[in-house]
Amino acid sequence: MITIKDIFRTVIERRDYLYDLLVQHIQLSLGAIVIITIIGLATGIAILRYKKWRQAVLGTVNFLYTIPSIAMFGLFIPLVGIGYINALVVLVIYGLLPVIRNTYTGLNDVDPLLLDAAKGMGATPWQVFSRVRWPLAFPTILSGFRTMVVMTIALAGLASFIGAGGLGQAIYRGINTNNASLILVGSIAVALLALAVDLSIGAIEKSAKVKSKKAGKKKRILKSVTFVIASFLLIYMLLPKSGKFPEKEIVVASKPTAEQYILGEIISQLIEKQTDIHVVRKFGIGGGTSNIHPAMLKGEIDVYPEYTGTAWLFILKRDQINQPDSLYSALKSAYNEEFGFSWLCRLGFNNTFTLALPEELAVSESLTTFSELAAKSSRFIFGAEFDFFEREDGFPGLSEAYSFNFKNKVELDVNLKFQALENNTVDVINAFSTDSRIRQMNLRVLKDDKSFFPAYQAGIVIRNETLQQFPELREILARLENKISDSVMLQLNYEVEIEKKSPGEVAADFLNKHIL
Amino acid sequence: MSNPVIEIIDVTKTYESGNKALAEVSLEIPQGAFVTIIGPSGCGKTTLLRLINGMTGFDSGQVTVMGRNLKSWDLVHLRRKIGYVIQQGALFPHLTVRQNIAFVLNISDAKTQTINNRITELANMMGFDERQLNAFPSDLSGGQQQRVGIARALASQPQIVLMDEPFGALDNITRRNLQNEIKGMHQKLGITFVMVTHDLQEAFSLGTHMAIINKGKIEQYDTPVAIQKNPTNIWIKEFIKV
Repeated sequence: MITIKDIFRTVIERRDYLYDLLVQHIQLSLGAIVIITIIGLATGIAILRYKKWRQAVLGTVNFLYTIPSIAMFGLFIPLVGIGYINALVVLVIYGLLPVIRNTYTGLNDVDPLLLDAAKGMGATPWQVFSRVRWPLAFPTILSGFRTMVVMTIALAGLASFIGAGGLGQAIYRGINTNNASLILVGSIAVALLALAVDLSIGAIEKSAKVKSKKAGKKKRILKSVTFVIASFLLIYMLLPKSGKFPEKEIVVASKPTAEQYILGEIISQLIEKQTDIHVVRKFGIGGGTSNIHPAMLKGEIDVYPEYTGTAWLFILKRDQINQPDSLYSALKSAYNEEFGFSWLCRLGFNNTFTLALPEELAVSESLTTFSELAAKSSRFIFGAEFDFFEREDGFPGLSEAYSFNFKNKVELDVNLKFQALENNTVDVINAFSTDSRIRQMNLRVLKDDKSFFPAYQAGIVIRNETLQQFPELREILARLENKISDSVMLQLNYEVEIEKKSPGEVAADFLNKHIL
Repeated sequence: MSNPVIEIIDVTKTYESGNKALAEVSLEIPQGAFVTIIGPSGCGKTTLLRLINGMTGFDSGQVTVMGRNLKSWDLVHLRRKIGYVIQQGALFPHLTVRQNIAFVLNISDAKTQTINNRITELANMMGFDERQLNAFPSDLSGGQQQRVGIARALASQPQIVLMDEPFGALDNITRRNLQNEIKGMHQKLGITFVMVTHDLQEAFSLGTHMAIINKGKIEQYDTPVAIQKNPTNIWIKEFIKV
């Protein structure tokens, strides 16, 4: 159970981190809000004029709105890569619907008799628009704007999924490192931000209405719009720019697991300690390898920790090599030739797949190997993350090798697997051999008696161009070779996932201990 | 009869559907007249009215307003010189009564002093007090709203005022009162009124001239007395009997 105390402690301990995320969140949201407002208003006005385009435009924004946002972030990765621009594009696409629709509806619903009256009294087309149509449509347009603002702030919480930062990063990191109070703090912060902005717009809206009874309503509304826009711009300018472009910069990425956060931190801190290169951390990239690898190819990410098995089977899609050393040397040359990437070293541990189930169940069914499980598999429910069912080195190959025939198969988020096991939603899960929860939950790891799973030795992948720019990194990062054994990694994971230390803290301790 | 302030000569207007809204209509309106246009619904009376301030175009013929061919007028400029009152007042709900009345002056960039003076004049004439001037149209009764609509049309001191069924939505008592008021105004101000109505009694009592239209054609155009005495055909005789 999380207590109020945990939440306060999280806020106080991670004040700087949370502040940075808040600033990123506001910057991202504001950037999107400004762009949406400009495009949305212009489009709303344009389709009022050009009837031909109306159906097509409204239909398109409506359709885009129905695409799940996670999918949208993913869809744009091949086009604009990961990070701020991707998040901005997706936020803009979602935010357009309420603004365009309300602008068009508001303007279109103005009583034609009033427009006729204005024109008949000698108003120019611009005067008809600015003095009659726009002010009458304004409340509808403002309510669309308000919806968009709240939605954008909330949706910006997902931006961390593609490495654009923001408060969602706290939530995402909390999920990935099994830290409930961080999840809660992140969520509350997003909600409060959205609420505060919503209330401010409401207050401005209200004061515009009340004062207008005395002064000119039109002028009031114009004033308040100017005020809102001006204050947004002001805040936007005052905030520090997220994208600093010093000459010496390197982007370190990680997948969304506690282990990867720790490895990402170890790599980043080592570089920071030993060089004056500025490190940009893009940790917890959603989709892991499938999104980091394309970003590496584009040069948006310079270095990240990867596993040999994943690279060989998932990226290169080659036939399995069971001998870890042969695999590594084949991998090194293939990566160099095909992608221009270098594997600098192997860290020492093998985080391979395994199957795990509660110790008691294992005892009562007397299960110790995959084959024994396969024989009784029709009585068990199997749970794994989505991509395990997809990848060749995952469930399809595994069930072929052992003829598994589970009663049911459940697709779960990678971080919810253990909870599902605890809730008895599933009986057996796949797990990584260095996962601290195996020990914490007293699970039994079954033996891969047919050696189906290949080696998944962790290593560091870097772009050759980056190495050319910073040749010192080759030697510095190679110092990590064989420094992290299975038991060390399990311990580091345990400290983050169970003892709730931050990955940065754990990484710093590790580096100090090994004098790196 | 003094010089015509509005001359419509052989004007034909065809809808996109091919139906004729107006068929070779001619109408000469003398300075200071009060012309009422009446006819069954869909006969083209509103179209005829809107020819005068260029709100409706036409296919052939000629329209002359205040001595100038309509084609040579800058329409925005022309419309500012012509008062325009339409159904239910069409007041701007987001503007106060004062701002509604000042609308034409405001869009013509008149000086604040000029605007204020003119509003005071009109308020005195129509009997609006300060509280009413600062109210929004929705705070007023239907009759009051229509009076604001008339004041708004008079604000730029036009020579011509066009009215399209201005009293259509009002109850009978209010309607009669407003009719009397507008009659008084016409006599006092000496400007030309052209009014579309579907109320025969109104057409007869207000008009110095009456145009009876049917199916896009003017059946008869004369003084109310003459029409009463000498309806030119059976249809008119039947129409004015109702």
